[in-house]
Amino acid sequence: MFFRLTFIFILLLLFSFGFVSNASAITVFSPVVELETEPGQTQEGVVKVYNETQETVFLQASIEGFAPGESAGQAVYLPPEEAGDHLNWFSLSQDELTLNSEQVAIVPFEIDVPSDTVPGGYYAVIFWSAAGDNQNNQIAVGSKVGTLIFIKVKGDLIEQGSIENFQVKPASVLYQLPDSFSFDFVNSGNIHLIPEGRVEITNYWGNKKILPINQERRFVLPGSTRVMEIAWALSGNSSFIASFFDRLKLELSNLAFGKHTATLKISYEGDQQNFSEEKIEFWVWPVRTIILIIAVILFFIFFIRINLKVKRLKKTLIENEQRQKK
Amino acid sequence: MKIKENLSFYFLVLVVLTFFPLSFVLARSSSESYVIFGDVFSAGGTSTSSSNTYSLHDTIGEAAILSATSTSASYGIKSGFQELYADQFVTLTLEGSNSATVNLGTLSDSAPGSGSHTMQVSSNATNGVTVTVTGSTLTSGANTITAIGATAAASSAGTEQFGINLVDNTTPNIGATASGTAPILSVANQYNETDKFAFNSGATIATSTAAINTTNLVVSYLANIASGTEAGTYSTTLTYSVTANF
Repeated sequence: MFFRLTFIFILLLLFSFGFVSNASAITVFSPVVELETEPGQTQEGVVKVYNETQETVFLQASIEGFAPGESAGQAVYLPPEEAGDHLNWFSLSQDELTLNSEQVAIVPFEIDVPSDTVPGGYYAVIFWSAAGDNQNNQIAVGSKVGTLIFIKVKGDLIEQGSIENFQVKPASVLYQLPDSFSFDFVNSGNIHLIPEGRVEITNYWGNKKILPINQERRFVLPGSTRVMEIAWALSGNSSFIASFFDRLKLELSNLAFGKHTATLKISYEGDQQNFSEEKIEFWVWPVRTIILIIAVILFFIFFIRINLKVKRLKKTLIENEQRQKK
Repeated sequence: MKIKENLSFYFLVLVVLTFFPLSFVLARSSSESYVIFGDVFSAGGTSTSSSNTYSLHDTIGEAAILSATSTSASYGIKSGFQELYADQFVTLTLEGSNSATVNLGTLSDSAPGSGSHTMQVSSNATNGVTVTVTGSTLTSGANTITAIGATAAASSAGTEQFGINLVDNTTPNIGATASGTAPILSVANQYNETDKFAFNSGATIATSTAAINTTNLVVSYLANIASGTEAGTYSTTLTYSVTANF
C-alpha cells in the first residue's frame, strides 16, 4: 500500500509541473504602441503576451531598435551598434516568462528618458522569443514576436512633411476612370507623422468626388519617404468585360468625360496643424460610355430605316389594293 | 498473485493519467454568460483604492493606442488590462513538437541535403505583418557552408550552398505553397521561386499589407557542399520574427 501511494504521489508531482514545450506559439496584443514623454521623465507602458497553445511555454524578452524598411511600413531591426542609446531607457518588469496554456501576461515597462535627450522620435521593438535548441548536425528554429514602440519625446520638434509625385494611375489620359492615385509623403522632420486628408476630383460638368486618404493611420518615420495609394471604388476589377456594366454605371453617374482635376489635400497633426496641397489634371475618354452612345445611335438609325421601310411597304400595299379595286 | 495485482494497479493508474491529463485544470474560466479570454498575471497597480464612501479595484493603465479612454470635464479613466476587449494581435506558431529542429542528414558533394518545417502566422493588424529570418549559415567551428545570398539560385550539387524558400519544389522534392483562407501572407521575392533558394540574414520572407487569416508556411531548407568542404558537424540557429506593419 505504501509503495502504491508513493508511486501515485511521484506521478502526480511529475504531471503537476507540466511540460515546457519544444513547440512555440507566441501572440502579442496591441502590436503597435505610441508613447509620449518629455526629457527627464519616466513613462510607463505595457506589452501583452498570450500563449494560445495547450502547453506551457517559456519566453525571453529582448529589445531592439528599428528603422523603416524599403517597403512601406515594414520595420527593419537594427544591430546593437546601429540601434541607438535609447534602448537603454527601457526596463521591463519581467524579461522571462513562463506562460501556462491560454494564459495572458501583461508586462509593464518603464522608459526613463535622460534630461539631455534631444526631442524627437525614438523607435524600439520589444520581442518575446522561444529560442531554438541547437543540436549537432541540425538547424534549430526559434521564433519571436514583437511589439513596436513609437516614442515621442516632446519639446522643440521638427514636424515637416511634403508631397512628391502626386499622380493618377495608370496614366494621365485614360479610357476609363482611374484605378487609383498615389503620392510620396516625405518626412524631413525628426518625429513620425501620420498624414491625413483627401483627394478631391472635379470635372468639366461640375461633378465632385472625394476620396479619403490614410484611413489606416499609417506612420511615416522621420527621414523616410512613404508611397501612399488612394484606391478608386472599382480598382479591383481589371477585366474589361467583367467590369463593363459596373464601370459604365460609375462613368454615367459621374459624367466622367473630358478634363478632370484632382486636388490632394494633406494635413499632419503636430503642435500646430500643418497642411500641404497638390493639384493634377487628367483626361478621361470613357470607352464604355462611348460604346453605349454609338450603340444608341446605331439603334436609332436602324429603327428609323426599318420604320421607313415599313411605311413604304404599307404604301405599296395600299396602292396595289386600290389598283385591284379599279 | 500479489505482484500481478500491483502491476495491474500501476498500469491502470498510468492509463488514467494518460487519457485524463491534469492540464484540464488550466482551462479558461467561463460560464453561460461570459468567458475570460485568458487568465492574467501581471505586476503593477494597487489592488484596492478606498475612502469612507467607496472602494475601487484598479489596475495599471495601458499605453496601447487602441486602449479605450473615458473622459469628462473633471476626470479621465484609462482602462486597464482587466478590460480584455477585442484588440489587434499578431501570432506566430511553430507547428508540432518536432519542428524546432530540422535535420539535413549527412551532406555529400553529389546530392543536396534538404528538410522543412511548418509555421503559422495570423493577425488582424490593420496594416498587416512582416516575417523576417535572421541567423547565420551552417557553421562548424571556423568553417561555414556559403550561404546563397539575397538572389535565389537553383540547387547545384558540388557547390557550397545554404538557402531556404517557402514554395513547393521538385528539385529537391520538398516544401509546399503558402496556404490558408484568403487573405493570407504573400511570400517575398527571392523566396517564392520554385526550385530556387536564397538566404540573407534579416531578409523579409513573407508579408501582407492588411489583416490576414491564418497562413500556413512551409520553410524548405537546402544545403550542398563541394568536394573541398571541410569535414565537420555543421549547425545553425535561425529565428523567425514577426511584427505588425505601421
